[in-house]
Amino acid sequence: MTQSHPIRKRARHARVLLLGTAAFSLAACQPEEQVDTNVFPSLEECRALADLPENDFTPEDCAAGFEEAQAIHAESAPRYDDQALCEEEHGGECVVETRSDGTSIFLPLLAGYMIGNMIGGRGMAAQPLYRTQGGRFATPGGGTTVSGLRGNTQLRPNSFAAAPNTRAAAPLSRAAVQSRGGFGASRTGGGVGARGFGG
Amino acid sequence: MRRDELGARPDWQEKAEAAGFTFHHLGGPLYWDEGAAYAFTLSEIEERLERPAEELHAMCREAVARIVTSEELMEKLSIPEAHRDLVAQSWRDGAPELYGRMDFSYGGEGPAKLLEYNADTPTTLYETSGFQWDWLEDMIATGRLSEGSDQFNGIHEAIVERFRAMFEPDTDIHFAAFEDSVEDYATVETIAWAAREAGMGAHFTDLRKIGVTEDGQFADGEDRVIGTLFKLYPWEDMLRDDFADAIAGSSCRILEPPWKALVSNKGILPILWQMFEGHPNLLPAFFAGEETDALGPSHVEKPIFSREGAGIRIHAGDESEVSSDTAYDSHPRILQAYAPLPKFGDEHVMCGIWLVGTEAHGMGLRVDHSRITQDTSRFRPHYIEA
Repeated sequence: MTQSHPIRKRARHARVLLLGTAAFSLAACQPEEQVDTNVFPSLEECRALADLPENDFTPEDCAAGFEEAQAIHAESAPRYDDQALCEEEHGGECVVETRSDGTSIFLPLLAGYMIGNMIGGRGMAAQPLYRTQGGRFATPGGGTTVSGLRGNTQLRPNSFAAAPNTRAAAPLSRAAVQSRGGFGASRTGGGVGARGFGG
Repeated sequence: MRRDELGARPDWQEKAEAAGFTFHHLGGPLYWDEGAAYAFTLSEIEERLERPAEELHAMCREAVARIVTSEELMEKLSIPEAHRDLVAQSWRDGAPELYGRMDFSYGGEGPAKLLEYNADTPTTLYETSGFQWDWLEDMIATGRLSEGSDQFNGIHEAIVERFRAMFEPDTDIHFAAFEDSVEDYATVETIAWAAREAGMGAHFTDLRKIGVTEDGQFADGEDRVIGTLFKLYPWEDMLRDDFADAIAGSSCRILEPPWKALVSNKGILPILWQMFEGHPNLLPAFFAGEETDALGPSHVEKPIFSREGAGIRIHAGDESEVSSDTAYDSHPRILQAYAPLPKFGDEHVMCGIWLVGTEAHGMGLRVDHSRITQDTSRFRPHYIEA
């Protein structure tokens, strides 16, 4: 910025920023949109409920959702090398798949599925549900659990996101945190009080 | 350069409170002190401070290019072996720098001498780019300084432009600091304002609440994945934390980039001296334990990692002085020729020149009765005479 004839050396505006208020308002309190979600133990039960006037999903939604849940089940169902472990984790029967090398792998049965009316015209989404050890029902990856297989609930949009195992998650998406507090311990400067690093 | 007993604005304290600038007193003693200000000429700012700072930054970049190819230099700078690739790769990738502050000994005569470069976690940004700027506007508006008075302070606009150049619009940036450190928080908040003005999303997380996800990415205190992280936390500490091993695989862009660990390190000073010996803005500097005859009898001992004057020892006969803060005493040290800070009245002055990207864009002055500028040193505003 070394110039021979600068107009001025100071900013045209810098406003005395109001500290401690709004710079991070996005982070502090943006209430997350909720997805209206219906949970079913089977396609048949979904269809039966779709005919009731108080429900805003159709038999077609039921079928499309079931198909999507089955596709996700095929891709992302929890898989175990050990049948006993699978049955323990999911409180019940597991089915066997045979790998191309002839070894066996075990999957929990599809216990039910849920469909959600995504906000902003993004259509309907579905997820398979598996019984958990504690008798609840969880999405693949375990990110969301519901207590039963019937009824209506409000869930975060991310409950319908793909199970976190294929690619790096996008910024600001929610992700399962394994551990915390790994930064800050080596702090040599600063200290608690008014002043910190830098000077 | 002249000290000018202008007197404080009668309502400055109310203005500070109204702006949320609550740390204008530090546990009692005054920190923001506009009772006197410093006056500069435009050519003095441009020729003695701005141009040398930009030249020194370019020299630092040359030094980094050399250090990243040398295990020996990485070792001297105490970069943990496991993370040298991270540091070197960020340089090879051309990861851009955001900001930094060079501290100079300059009193109006002779070339400004670089004391150190806080290129990683400089604070005092709010008082420099915001409150000082407002002080000048007020002084002109009330006729206490003439209409044509100016200030070396384009920092805010420069940071906004830098963000625009560095990131796509709407990039979400997390800002991490220690929430209970008022001044650190003010500095990240000031930068976050600039980021938002540049069209970015700004999110705060306490540094200690950062987590690692199942996929090895970083997440904030609310489990949200961090794609870009501004951290007001020194690289030398970060590389020694439990999560250091997770950085390389986290797909997270971090500001400042890892190669700044080499520049904010006082070990850069002897390397600069070796590469550019005799440069008018450099002081002779050496790693402790090396051949140091060229230093002369008066010199300063500094830990390679230290901030706010901690761990500094001046060896200069009657002027000898030792910092009472020993937090960094276990770190390797460098020796630098002693360039006494200029004295105006009963105060020593240090000129901090702010770099944004590769350019110099502003100045903040710190004064202290002590010869060592420390965390309690007062901040004084400056202006450029019409």
